Amino acid sequence: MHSTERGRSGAETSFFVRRKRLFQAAALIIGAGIFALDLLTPLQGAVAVLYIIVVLLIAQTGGRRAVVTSGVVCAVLAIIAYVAGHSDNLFDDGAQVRLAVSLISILAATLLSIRDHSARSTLAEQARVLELTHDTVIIRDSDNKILYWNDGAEKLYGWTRHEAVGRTCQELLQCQFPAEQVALALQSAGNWSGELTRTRRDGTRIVLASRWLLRRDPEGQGVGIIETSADLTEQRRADAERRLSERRYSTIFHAAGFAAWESDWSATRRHIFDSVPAGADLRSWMAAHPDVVREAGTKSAIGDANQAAVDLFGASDRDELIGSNVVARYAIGVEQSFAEILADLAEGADRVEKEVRWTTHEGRVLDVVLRVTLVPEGEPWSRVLVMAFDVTERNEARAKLEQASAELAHAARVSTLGQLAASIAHEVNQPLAAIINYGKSGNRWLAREVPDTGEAKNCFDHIVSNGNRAADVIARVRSLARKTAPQVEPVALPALIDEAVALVQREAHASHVAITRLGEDTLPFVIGDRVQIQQVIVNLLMNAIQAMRDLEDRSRRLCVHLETEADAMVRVAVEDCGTGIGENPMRIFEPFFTTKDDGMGMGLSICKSIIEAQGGRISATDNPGHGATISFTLPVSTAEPPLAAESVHTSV
Amino acid sequence: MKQSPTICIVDDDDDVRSSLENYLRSVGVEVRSFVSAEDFLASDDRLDADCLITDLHMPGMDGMTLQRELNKLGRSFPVIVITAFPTSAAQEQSADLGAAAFLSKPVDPDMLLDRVEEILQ
Repeated sequence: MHSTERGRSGAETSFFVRRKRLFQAAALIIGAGIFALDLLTPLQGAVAVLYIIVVLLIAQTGGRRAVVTSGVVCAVLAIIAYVAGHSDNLFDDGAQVRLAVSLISILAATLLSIRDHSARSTLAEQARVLELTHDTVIIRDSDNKILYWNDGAEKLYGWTRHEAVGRTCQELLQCQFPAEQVALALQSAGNWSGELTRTRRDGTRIVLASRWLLRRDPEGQGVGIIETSADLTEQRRADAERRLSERRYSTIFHAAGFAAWESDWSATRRHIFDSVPAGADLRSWMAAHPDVVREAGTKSAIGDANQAAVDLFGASDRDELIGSNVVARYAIGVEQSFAEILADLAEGADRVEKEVRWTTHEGRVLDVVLRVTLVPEGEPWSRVLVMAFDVTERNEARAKLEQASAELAHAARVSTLGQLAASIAHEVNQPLAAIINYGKSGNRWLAREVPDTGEAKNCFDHIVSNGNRAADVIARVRSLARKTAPQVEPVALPALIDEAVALVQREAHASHVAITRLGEDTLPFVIGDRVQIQQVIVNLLMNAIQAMRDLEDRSRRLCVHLETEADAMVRVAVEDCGTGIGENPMRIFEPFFTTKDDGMGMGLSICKSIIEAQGGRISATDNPGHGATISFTLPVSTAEPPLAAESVHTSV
Repeated sequence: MKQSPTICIVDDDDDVRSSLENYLRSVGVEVRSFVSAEDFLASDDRLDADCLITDLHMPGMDGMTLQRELNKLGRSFPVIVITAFPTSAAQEQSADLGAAAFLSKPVDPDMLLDRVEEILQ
């Protein structure tokens, strides 16, 4: 087998060029010699037949054209020699026949050379393919000696063609392969493929995927092996790297503290798109057909989930989730959120984030922030990555915080009476206690056998100073009260009561108390301090709500009655259905009376003070049925005409 | 009551404290008064005390904590609590800490004296 000239190295090229020149020179010389012989010799042989040597020599080195040219030239030379040699008898039979034979042989040699050249070109082309491949191609004879060694082999093993050809494969490459297996395969099937290890020139071992084909001669005898191999090392390394990277990703996925799972939503998507009528708006249609959304959701299949996801869903292990879906696990809240997510994805978003509230079949509520990402691979929506962050606790804490701050603000408004009372109690109590002590002390000093008037005088001085201290406190409280309370004016009770009810709304709602205001159609204005009257009403409402706090067997109703009374008074009655007060209901207005653990018992006594200061009266009675009624009266205002009161107003 | 027992008073309010001290003196009783619970705990008079009368609400250490501290240190005298905020919760807590009496301000000093006598018997 000969190589073509193209693609050779520099040294080889010049070698071939020299060879070519040599042959051409030889051809030329021999041609000239034959011509001379033909022309000059008196021999009766067909000397011109020898021109085929020239043609053959040219065929070894030249292309088609060269061969044809040389054939033509030789033919012409033969004819010239003939004409010149037989100028006197051109049509001598013997010489003609000899010429014809020569020409025919030159022609035959030329044609055959051309064909041979074509065949060699084709072979050369085919051989070039072997050069193009990165794979190694090695051809060995039956003694394992290397006959052919391609570019790929040169590059891979590091031995050039010259170094390799002629050596045995084993000594050059230290092959390691399952020899028996190979021999068996070659024997039976004529080929073998598998992996083997070889050593490169620099000593590194490489792993190859190899295919061996048994070369047979025309009789079918094995005469050698054609082998092609591909280096697996690179592929192996890439594989290992990929596996490592996947393992790393898998570790992160599974170790993540937040729930993450991968799901196949392609069937879900198909179901939705098949169900939605053409032209309909996907989002609104899905909102109107939650059952379809749910069914579509059940068609999704979880491929993998991390431990955090298992915990989030309350599953026993990962296997429980794989193949299943999220929708089936939750009873409430899924259809809507799922529909929204699907609509967002269908509109082209590749990432959707949404906070959802799901309730399980057992009633467990879950607040979760979902992040849904589409992984663009294969069928649309076949890889959906979902990450979920449980915010139930955060929401609960936030709700508690909101409630606490609302409660605080609220308490500030409805407990002014208590706070005021506390500060008065403390500020006034101290000097009062001191006065009493000094008073009694003074008595004792004077009651001694020898009255200690000095000490007594000291006591009196202190009594006075403490009295002044108390007076200061009262003065301060009074000025404070003046600042917060506007002067006496005509007050519309129905509106005032509604406002008071609004203030205690949260408490009433939380305690499931229904508040109703009943009253006459026309109600005159009353005269009084608006803020203080409202404070009283709020206090009475709060007391009533708390009185019914522990009721189990009946609904908690609170009624506020409004009616005019004789002698130009309006009565406001707050009626509850709690446990009532018991004997001597009026005792609740005494200072420090309280049934509450943390109560100071100031509220009602202050209410009494306020009402009585406005010219009214406050009283308490137990109801005939359940609970108690606390009512107060206020004088009617002569200033404004009567107001048309609103009819029954209920609030919960 | 032993001849001239030592009563200790703790109250941050100057008027209340001195008036009570004056009264007890007029009775003829040994009195030591302290403006704060810390002062009382730090003083040596504590060791002579036969009875302690204390307020509850004071800046710094309050009356409940004082009771607790005294219990920890091991006290040998009864404690009477006088307060301007006589809530039932406070009364319970005080009783749990071993108070001999729980009285609301303003306290009648004669009544207080009777209680002290009673307790010291």
